[in-house]
Amino acid sequence: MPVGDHTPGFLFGVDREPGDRPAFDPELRAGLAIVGGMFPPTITPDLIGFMRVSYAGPPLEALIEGRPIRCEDRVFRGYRGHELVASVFRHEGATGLRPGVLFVHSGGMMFGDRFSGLDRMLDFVDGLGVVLVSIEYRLAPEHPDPFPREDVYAALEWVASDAEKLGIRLDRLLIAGASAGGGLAAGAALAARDRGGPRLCGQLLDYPMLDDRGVTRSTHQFDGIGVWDRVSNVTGWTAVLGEARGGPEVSPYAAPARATELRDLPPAFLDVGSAEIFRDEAVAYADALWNAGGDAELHVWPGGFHGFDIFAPHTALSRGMIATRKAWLSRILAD
Amino acid sequence: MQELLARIHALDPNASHTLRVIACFDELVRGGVNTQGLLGAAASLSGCVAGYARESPSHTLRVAPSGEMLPDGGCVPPHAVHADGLSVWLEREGGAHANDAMIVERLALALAIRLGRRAPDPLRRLAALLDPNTSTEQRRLVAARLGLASHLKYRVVSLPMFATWTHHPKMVEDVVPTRFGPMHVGVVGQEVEHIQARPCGIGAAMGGGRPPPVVRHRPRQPAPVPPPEHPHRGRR
Repeated sequence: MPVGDHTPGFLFGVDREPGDRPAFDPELRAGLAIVGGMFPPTITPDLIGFMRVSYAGPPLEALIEGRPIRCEDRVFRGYRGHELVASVFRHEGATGLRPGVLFVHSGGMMFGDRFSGLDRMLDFVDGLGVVLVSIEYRLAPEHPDPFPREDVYAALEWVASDAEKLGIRLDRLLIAGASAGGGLAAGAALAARDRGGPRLCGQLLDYPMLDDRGVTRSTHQFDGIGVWDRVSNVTGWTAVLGEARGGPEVSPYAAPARATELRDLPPAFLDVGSAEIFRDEAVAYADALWNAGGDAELHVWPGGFHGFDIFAPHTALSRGMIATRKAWLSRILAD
Repeated sequence: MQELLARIHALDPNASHTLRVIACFDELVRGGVNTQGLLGAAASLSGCVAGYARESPSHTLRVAPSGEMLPDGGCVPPHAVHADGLSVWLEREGGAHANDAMIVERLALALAIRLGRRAPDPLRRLAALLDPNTSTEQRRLVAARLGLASHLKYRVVSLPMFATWTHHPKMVEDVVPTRFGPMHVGVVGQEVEHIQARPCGIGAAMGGGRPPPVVRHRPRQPAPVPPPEHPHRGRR
């Protein structure tokens, strides 16, 4: 609460959610009381350092403990040949070539690492026997556009060219990403089409960060509340795009909401909460894909805040989201 | 899935876990969340299976930290807490963790309310003290029960649940539901003008059963027009 331009009003008293934005699901509200400290609603540039600690992925051992999964690290060449690390996860019992998923992690393009939010992706290794490749990409603001997206694109080219060595069936390669990673995954799918790159069999876009312009209604409904509010989004896009943010020169590979040509893209799956700023851009992207004759599946989870399945996976809404996502992935990738 | 409270503690050892647990179950009860959801929250917070059993009609439910239902274990563990005709427990291997007792207490209360064995929690004292709908007479009564003197003036302190403390002084405090979600609220003497926590708001000194101080908050954005930027909004 800054000084100046305030209106007085009662803060206390049991009352309802304001009528001009969807209320959070009750189980998720309870979850927010707990996790709010790990992920403050409003992330300003001075909090990037804190978020890099707070949102760091769990240790590898904790991730794969009790799962029949083996992990090995590989080095690939990112944008301009820079060496980056990828972790490759395989089912212990997997033989021969398997479907592959290239995963791009979340974190507003400013924080997070290849282990952030990976629990749910590892379920696909467990349950479907996919080979999961989770990559590092360079982060803003130290590495602004085009570093994050071109690192991701380089990873896609690497996975495709080394598919056999990685044990991946090239005809069943899918790109997946969450939040910032969802935007980067969508951008890489556009770039792969335009550059004659690897043919993807699907794009899994979890609550993707697609639009730098910040003009949707949902962007303005969640200020100072929930996870990843309007100001956080300004912080993220400014870190990536600098002065170009919101202007006419932004590449659709960086902000896929800018894409005007959406034909010939792989089948897309989008999920998002109704109570988060990315709601409108996710809905608009699915709509644009359909209008271009594409294949898209869209799920809007009522009362869901951003990334709720990562922060509160035990809730009924999260379990529904996780099961629905897995059902789509099974249709595309399962044997 | 790691134990949620353990993760929070690693990040901020000064965080008030007790209040977070209370706020969590307050929200579950207010939202009418079912027994599986209540047990799932307790299991997720603690990192171990949470269960409850009741007689007439006989029913047992065990829920994993993942939120999934588990098969009936067959018997109520000896360390279960019994209240309102319910047995409630956490299936912790080894010694109890610091917050286990608090989690079980709030879980038991929430289950009893959900199952109609107890009336929904009326406003707790601090919430009643600050509710604009509380009468002056009632406010004086509540203040006295909280140990606040009628001839002195006090300030109300409010913080989001995620506030970080440099120094946490002793004060009357609780979590209070607001339209912005649960807030951490305290009452301090009028001489206290600054709280070493951020973000944190502190009100004008008031007393004598007067209505609660008006706490200032930002107006909501009126329309989806790109507003001027305030990169440090919401924090100070």
